[in-house]
Amino acid sequence: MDEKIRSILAEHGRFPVDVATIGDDEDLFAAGMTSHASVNVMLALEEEFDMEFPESMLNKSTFESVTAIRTALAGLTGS
Amino acid sequence: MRPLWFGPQDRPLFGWLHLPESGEASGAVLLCPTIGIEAVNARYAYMYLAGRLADAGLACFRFDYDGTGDSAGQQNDPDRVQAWLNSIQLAMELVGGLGTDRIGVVGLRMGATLVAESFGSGPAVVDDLVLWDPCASGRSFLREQSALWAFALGREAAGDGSVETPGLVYEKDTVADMSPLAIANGNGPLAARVLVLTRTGRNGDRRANERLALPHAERTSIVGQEELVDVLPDAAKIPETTVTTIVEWLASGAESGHAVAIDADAVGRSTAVVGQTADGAIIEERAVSLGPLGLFGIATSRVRPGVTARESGADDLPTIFFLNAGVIDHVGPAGLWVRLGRRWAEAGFRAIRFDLSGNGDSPVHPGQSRRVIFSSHHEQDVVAVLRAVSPRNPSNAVLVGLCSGGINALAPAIEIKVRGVCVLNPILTFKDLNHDGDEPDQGPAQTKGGMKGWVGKMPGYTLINRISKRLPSSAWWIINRIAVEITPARKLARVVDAGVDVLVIAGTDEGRWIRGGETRTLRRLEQTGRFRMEVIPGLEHTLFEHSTREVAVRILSDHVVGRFGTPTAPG
Repeated sequence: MDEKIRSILAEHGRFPVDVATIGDDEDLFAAGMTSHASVNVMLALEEEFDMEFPESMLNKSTFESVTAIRTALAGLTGS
Repeated sequence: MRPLWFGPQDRPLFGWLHLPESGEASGAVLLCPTIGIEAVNARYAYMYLAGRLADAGLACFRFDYDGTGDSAGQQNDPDRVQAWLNSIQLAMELVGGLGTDRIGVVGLRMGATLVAESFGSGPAVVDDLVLWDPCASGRSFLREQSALWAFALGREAAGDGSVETPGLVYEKDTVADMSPLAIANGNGPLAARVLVLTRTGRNGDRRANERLALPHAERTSIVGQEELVDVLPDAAKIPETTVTTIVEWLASGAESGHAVAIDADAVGRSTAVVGQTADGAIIEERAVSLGPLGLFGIATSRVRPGVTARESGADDLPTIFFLNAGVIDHVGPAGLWVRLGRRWAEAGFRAIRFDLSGNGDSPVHPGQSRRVIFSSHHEQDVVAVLRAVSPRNPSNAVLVGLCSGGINALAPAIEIKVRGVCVLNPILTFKDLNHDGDEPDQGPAQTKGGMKGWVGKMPGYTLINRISKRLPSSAWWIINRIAVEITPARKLARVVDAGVDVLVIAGTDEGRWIRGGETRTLRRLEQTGRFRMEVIPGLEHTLFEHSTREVAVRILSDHVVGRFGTPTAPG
């Protein structure tokens, strides 16, 4: 799952740095992911994992780190 | 290109007609915009596309939906979705009336979804339809936009069924009406030919894909959408390749059409009634061409039937001028200039919202870049507009500007000695205003930025810039004396000392920049009785956030009406 998350972050996150250099718990927004980019990350994750984030999860904290995204996806996909 | 109003007299819609130079067109194309902040981003792309289509021999019409842009109504009026769909039908009637053999329609993002709803059932009434990066549904659009705003502001949804997006709150009923709109709805052919432009790397919605798998539909992947709609407005770039694809596809469809002469002056109306007052006066709007360059603006005024309009507003109240906020066109942030202009016209003011050179619908000076926040021409644009509008008494004016608009108002305010200036969230330091992109020879020098030249060359300047807003006022006192050429407060003082009434409305950070180390200066200004500064905690810089924006609007409106709403004594 981490590999897919990082691949999506690399493609849609528009980071000024290599995603591989960002730690699992590092703040993605502080690392340069804009609000617009985070929406594209959200949509790409939904397409990749064939699910939809509920409205209650459409907030910054859900997407603030690789760990946070992994936790959210695990809860939604049961994997 | 010609600005015009169309549709019902009591609910006019605004649009622009672009014609080939020959005045003859082999086909006509209707451009249906997207909604909200995306429409702000894509506005120039649509203007550019319209010009390219005209160059290719096609008439083109772009317009604002009911309650948006320069059209009548407000964004939170009831029955929004039906009003937007009606707007498309009315615009189609106008385009159909041009008399060309072939009619094309382009819908971008949510505009594509609305177009699909309009033409999705029944036989094809459109010849060529372009669905440009369509939103699968109203629900998906709202979801993306509300997520964007939640991520930007770091907060949760309202939970009352309404959806707040940048600059726009969709009320509960509008959300309920928008959500079911979907590309997949309907089972008609949509058009004789359909071109679907989808983002590279996105599979898209399954139901929408199935619906658009029509034998007469072509599907093309495009790039550059992120740079058009998924960025802040000032960073939006025209996707040249996509525009060329659209132009070539539509032009190929109209190749066999006979060229028809179109009399632009016979299309639509040159004025519009956008409101009425309790005492029977009407609120009228007309497009104006301002100054030697012909900057585009819209003048709003209260008109009593049978009374000839005078140079200034009713009872010689000052004319209010709204300046561009960054690259946002003359409608202002979240359509605020339109809303305030109409409100203040009811109170007797004449209001003019206009586009500085290179912004919105205004032309450029020779060599000037388009869509730049700061241009060395902008201050003189303002001076030229003031003199053009009221040649006998240009000082009977109040300038209103947000961010760069606030900055662009200051020097002209001093030069013309206007009655008042209202600046919202001005960034009065850190910017070198004396250049215009990378273009050389951009005309007269503009107000110098706040920091001394050597500061910007220091290693770690960006970091210093970032942490500077956390510094206490005492630290600012020292920085102001070492590194700042002219502090924001002293820049404002020059305006006040010129006899101009100044209102500053600022958010927390912007207020700190202005106040930092300048307590005594600001106290002195307040003692003149011509200076007022209001800090609204949490005020979002571009006024796209609803609740704090409304606080700012109340302060601004009360100030303008209270301060300038009393007629001046004759003589």
